[in-house]
Amino acid sequence: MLQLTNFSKSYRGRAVLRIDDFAFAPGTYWIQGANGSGKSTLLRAIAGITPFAGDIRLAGALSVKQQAAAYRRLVNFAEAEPVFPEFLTGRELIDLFQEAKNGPQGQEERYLEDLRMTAYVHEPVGTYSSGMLKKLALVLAFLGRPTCIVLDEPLTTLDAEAIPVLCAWMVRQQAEQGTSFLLSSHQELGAGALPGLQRLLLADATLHRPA
Amino acid sequence: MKNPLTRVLLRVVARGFYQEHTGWLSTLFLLVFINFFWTRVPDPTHITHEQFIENGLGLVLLSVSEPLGVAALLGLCLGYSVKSWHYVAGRLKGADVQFLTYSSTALPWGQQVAAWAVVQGVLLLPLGALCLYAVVVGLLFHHWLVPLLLPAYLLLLTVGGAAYYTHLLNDTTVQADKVAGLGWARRWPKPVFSLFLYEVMASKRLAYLLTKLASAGSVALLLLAFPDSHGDGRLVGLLALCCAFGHSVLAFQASEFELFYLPFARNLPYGRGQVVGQQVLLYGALLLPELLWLLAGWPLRTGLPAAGLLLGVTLLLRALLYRTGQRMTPYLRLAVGLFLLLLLANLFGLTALLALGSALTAGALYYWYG
Repeated sequence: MLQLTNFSKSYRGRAVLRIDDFAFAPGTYWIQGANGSGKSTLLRAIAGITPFAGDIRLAGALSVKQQAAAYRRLVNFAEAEPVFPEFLTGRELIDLFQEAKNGPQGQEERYLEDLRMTAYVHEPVGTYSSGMLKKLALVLAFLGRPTCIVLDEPLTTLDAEAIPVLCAWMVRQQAEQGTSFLLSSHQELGAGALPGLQRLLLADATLHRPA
Repeated sequence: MKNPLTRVLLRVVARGFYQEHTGWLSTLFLLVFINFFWTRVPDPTHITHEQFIENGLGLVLLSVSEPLGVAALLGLCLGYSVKSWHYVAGRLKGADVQFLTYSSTALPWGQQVAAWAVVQGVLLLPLGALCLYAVVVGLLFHHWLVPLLLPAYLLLLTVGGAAYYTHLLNDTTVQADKVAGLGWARRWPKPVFSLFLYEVMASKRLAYLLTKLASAGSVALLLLAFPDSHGDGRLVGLLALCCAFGHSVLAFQASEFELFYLPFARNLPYGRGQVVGQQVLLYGALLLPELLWLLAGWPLRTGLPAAGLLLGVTLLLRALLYRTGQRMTPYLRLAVGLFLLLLLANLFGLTALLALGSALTAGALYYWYG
């Protein structure tokens, strides 16, 4: 599904990530690692929003660098701490993402209802709490027809009711559209909530499969 | 500086103020301060030494003796203070300084105001130097009233600013409805390129106004300085360059907005051509008054290359931030160097070529880094 080749990321000349060759088969991956191990950096690079050396290809064909637009149409992302212009409403952001990601009309309604967001989605995001912003970012990440959805710390600030809803979305999305998921989380994911969940460890600046 | 609150406030507020306003302060210094300190006397050979001194100090003496001069000096102090209040009020909304609302507010009110007064004093340092000079010169020339009142006026502005900041941090009720400021535009379309325009309307109106005033001021000065050259294409090119560089700080703020609020847009499937197109639309809209003025106010032969130069150079200024990063000092150094280079080239009548070169260089940078 995703192939990292000669991937490296440095800050001020110091290499923080180095992954020579790594392939993600279709599935759901939970990337674990200590604070500062580079999880968010890796996920942002895979989402195509931070520069790096090397290449990342989707389905062997689309390079994040060479076919950037086509790649981004199929790889969606939700940040750990989402920030949006305060004057935009949730609805305006949904419309923007839906158009850009070529999502079907009305696709968002189910997500909004599941997370009980319909009451405030027309309000400017500057009025949202951090949990409401997080829910909005998650809805945006599911819009379109993504091959892969990258979720950085998706459980942080979510209320207890929303966590099983998110897990159910992931399971359904994977079953119906074969979408793969890459996520990082310091919180334990509910046992059995995500069938086939594969753990990966980011340590010593590289990605490891558990023995 | 032993007070921990003062130390923190100086680092998070005062430093940022000077970093963000280096361009404005340099312009203010060049346009006002130098003449204020000493006005060049054109032909000093036909006057006495006393007259020479009085003429040289004419502006500063005017500011402590004549009503109009006094009003101008007090107005400058007030305008500068309002700018600093506006900056700090905006800064206090930043996510990274929210800790102040649940730390500094535990101190007694007087202690908070005192800490903020030090910060405001540091922000007003350029004014302090200006006023100190006016006081000394005024007293030497036996003007008593204004030189004695000026320190009190500055103190009032400083304490007033400090009390205002303390109020902003302590009174949480005043911020509740701020984000609803663009309610009138709720139904307007908001394509990605336009988001900074809405941000300008929501929270950067003063910066935009000052930019336009600087732009108009530089144009007026140049037209007054060269009354016989209004048909010269080089002058029109120079006007375009001044307008473009007048927008350098706004371009910096646009880039900052993009980095902080629009990281999500980099995950949207826009091709590089679309990204360049979005930037052209954004800066075309920001520069619309100047572009229309250049196109409508001059013959097409001179107006069109000048309008192209204005847009091309502004896009280039924005694109340079990809190289420098969000660091004001290297950015301004590069911008000043570029201005001098383009100014010289423009003197050879290369306006159209410069417009094309700037646009192509900007396009290449967008393509490479975008």
